Amino acid sequence: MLGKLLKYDIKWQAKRLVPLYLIMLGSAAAIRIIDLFRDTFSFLNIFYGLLTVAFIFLIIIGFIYMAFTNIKRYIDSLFKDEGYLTHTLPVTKSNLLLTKFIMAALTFAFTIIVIILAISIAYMNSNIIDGLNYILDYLSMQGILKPLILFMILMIFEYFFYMFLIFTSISIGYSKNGNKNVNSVLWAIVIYFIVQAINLIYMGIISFMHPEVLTANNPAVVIDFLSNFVLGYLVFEIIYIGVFYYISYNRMNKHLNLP
Amino acid sequence: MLLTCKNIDMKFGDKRVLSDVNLNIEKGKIIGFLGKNGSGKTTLIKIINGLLSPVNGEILVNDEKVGVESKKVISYLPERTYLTMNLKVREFIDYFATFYEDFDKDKAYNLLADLKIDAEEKLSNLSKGTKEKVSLILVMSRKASLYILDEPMGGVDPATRDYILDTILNNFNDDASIIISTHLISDVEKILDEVIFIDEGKIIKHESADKLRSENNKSIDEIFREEFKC
Repeated sequence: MLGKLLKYDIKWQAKRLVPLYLIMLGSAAAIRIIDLFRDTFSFLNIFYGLLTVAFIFLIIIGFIYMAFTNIKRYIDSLFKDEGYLTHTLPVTKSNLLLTKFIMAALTFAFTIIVIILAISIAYMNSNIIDGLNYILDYLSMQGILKPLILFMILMIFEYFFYMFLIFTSISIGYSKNGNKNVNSVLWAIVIYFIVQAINLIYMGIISFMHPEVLTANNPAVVIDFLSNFVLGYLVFEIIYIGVFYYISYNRMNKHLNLP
Repeated sequence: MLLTCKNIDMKFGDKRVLSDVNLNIEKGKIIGFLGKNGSGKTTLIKIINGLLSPVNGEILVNDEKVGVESKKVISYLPERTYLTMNLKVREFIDYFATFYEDFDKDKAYNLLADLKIDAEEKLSNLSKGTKEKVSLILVMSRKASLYILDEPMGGVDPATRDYILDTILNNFNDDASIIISTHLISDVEKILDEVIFIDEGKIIKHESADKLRSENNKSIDEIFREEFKC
């Protein structure tokens, strides 16, 4: 049943995101084509500049729009009128919820892939590839590559953290009888501050256990500390996501309150 | 017993909307679920369908608690427009066929053809009455054990109401039961086997329709009006 639910959610998301992806890729192709001719026709430089700015905005808006479609789908299919159809399907609540979590991950992955592809189409050339290789070699020699990779993984998990925090606060807010949106926002703030308090305690404990980092002259000591710190923070993110899933499941299973 | 409601209590905040509701529904019956606005009909229906959790009590469908198994045998038509996905009628039929093993696609298409509804049309482009008919067709095209229709005739013209009643009568099997919640009692009472009156969250009457009519020498509609006189 999970596959069937995913099929319909993928169709819903595809209708909204595929046009965006095509616009991104089309803009990237246009930038590349203009780039090929701007040495010959100098007036094209203006269009190149404008299109580059528009392309950057498109990437940012596209990312936000992708998150927005996931949130909208979550609310509409589980807590608005469509919920009368969704919650009476012969599927488990856990499958209904898992579908949304998986879709958030899938749409994120696809959007990132399209963005990377679009940037490559627009700008990639041998000079940039050589430059990137040089930077990676330098970072590796300095011992910064590992914490940087960990940090990038952490950023990915941060996205999931915030998406699932929003899902959870919606699950709680929409279980109330009135002011569902206000309650959802309030619970998002409450949960956010609880999580940040836990993170601060973690940071405090780690700093207390490694006071030598504050006075270290050797960058390797600091880098090693940061790597372990980020790794620990990543574990917390995974735990938070698990807790968010449990709370959302509990609210949907025992406190569903469709209008 | 097809449906058993045991000691169901429900509150919204401090307001009690269902109070110690006990109900048994057998197979092969058409039951009218009748009450004033705000009496608790839709709340109880939503609890039976797993859309609300009661404060107390238990619902059993074929001796199973409300869950995946009960949803396989209940075909539910809510009072509100719930087919809000931007799909064509044909796509909704495919949707129902995907999730419900008992869904009869041929029956659905035949019923659509009877009404000359184009399956390639988007549901959002259809009139309110036509949307209601499509919703009913999707529900009645299942070979369910229990059909629950919440205000199936609300806001539609008399000719459509007659069509809805005919569709209900002609498309359910003798082993199944139908619960119809409605205010349009005079339209529906001719098909009812049993009636349930609910008032202020309590079941005040559950009897055979014929017995009620013969004992009081009145129609169900008249009995209802007397019972719930303002």
